[in-house]
Amino acid sequence: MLDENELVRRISDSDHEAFKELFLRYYRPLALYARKFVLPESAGDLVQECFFQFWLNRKSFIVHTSLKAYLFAMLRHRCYHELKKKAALQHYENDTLQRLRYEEWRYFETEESIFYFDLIEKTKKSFDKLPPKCREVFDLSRQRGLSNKDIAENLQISQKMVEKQITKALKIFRNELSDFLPLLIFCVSQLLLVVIRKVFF
Amino acid sequence: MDNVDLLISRFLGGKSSAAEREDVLKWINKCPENRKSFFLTKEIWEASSICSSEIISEETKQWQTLAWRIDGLLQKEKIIRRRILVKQFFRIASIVLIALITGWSGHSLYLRIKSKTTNVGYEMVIASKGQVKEIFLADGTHVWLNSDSQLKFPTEFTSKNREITLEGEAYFEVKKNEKSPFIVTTRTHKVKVLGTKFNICEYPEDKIIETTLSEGKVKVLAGDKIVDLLPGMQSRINTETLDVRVGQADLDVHTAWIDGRYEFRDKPLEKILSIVERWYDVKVVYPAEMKQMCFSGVIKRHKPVNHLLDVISALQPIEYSISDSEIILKKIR
Repeated sequence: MLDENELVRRISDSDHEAFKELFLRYYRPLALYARKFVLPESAGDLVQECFFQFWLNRKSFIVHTSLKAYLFAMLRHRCYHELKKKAALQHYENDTLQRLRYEEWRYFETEESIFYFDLIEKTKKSFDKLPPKCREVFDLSRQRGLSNKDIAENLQISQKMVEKQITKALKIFRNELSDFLPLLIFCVSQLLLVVIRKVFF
Repeated sequence: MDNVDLLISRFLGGKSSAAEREDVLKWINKCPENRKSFFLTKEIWEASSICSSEIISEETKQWQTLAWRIDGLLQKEKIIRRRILVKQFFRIASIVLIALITGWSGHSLYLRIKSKTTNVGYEMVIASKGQVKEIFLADGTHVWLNSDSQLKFPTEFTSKNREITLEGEAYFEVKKNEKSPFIVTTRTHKVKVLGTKFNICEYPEDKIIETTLSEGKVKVLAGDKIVDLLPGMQSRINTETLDVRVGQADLDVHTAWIDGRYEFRDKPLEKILSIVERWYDVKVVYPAEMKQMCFSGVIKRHKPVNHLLDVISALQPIEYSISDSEIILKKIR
């Protein structure tokens, strides 16, 4: 893994490969983060826009904090504008999901965004720690998006077994990450709860 | 707890029924611990899609688009950079070109001015012994240059004055030009005129410079003296004392040489023989005691020198002999 400063230096020299490395390092965490606030399709485009902007400014870019913080801050900004644009198009009082996303955006401070990146990194690692069977089921469920029924048929096990494996995975994850997120969760939870009720019910 | 996790996972996966959703909410609201747990699970649920094929393919797609945009940008930057370079080149080239043109035209202008000043060259006409030359100057002035004389004059009269230099004897018919006086400079005096006819005789061996005016008006300048001459008058300047005398002159006597005659009245032999030397390009050797013997008469250029010598030897007890370009006079005792 290249040092971030070296990466930035090489990108400022218009190094295509270095830029690709930066992109692959941050795209997914950024995209997942953006998906909290905007639709998945928009999320991807917003992240791409951030990287493009970064490329445009590559010659004058100076790292004050970290590259991570810079990218997350940039994305947050874009998400906010996207939310505002949406809000202008439709009354977001009526669109509770929009509202939820907006509130979530407000409570996710930049610092927590960076935190979020770490969470995702950690999740990736935790995933490798799952027992084989558990990992297989969770992978099919969460990552390939199959329904429990399809998984059960695929793996020749009962649907109950599938659910059991999924909950087991969640438990392991929670144990791995429990001391990682409490602050973040606490901040968000109070308000979101109200909104979530509106969204799901 | 297992049951709750199952409920939550179905809830987050959007697979729960209305009743189950109600249960989840109830459970969440039960205590802060539950709330925390729910959101932690939610975060994990969302984060765990990091390795999903869906987001990986999205990543690839987004990178392709981004790479394409960046390539376009680089291409554009390259074109702009090239355009700037070309612009820069033309800017520098035009500066160099202007500098070259200015330098070249300045240089050629300088050369032209220089050639103009040096081109106002001088011409020298020499009439050697035995010769009389007739010269037309650029301003139309007509000059007869007597033997053993030289005239230096500009090939073109550009300055306000028409200045020429004379050594020896010359007769001038000056073209009238009020704006540009005609000035003849000799070793000891200057003659300034506007348009006249006059004769200057200033052979170095003569101690007297004669300026004789036949028409118009001239100013004679010698040392600090200025003398105006009227037609028929003559100024005589002593080259040693710079004494200037003005008197009536016999015009024919002083201008006859133009027609190839030399008239003299009571002139010492010394003077006459110096003219003979000049006219016939010969050397005359004679004893010093003969110098002040005076004669009157006419020498005609087209007549052989014997003619004159015969006359002289007839008048005085003198005999002569002629050898290669040397005439020897002797007194008969």
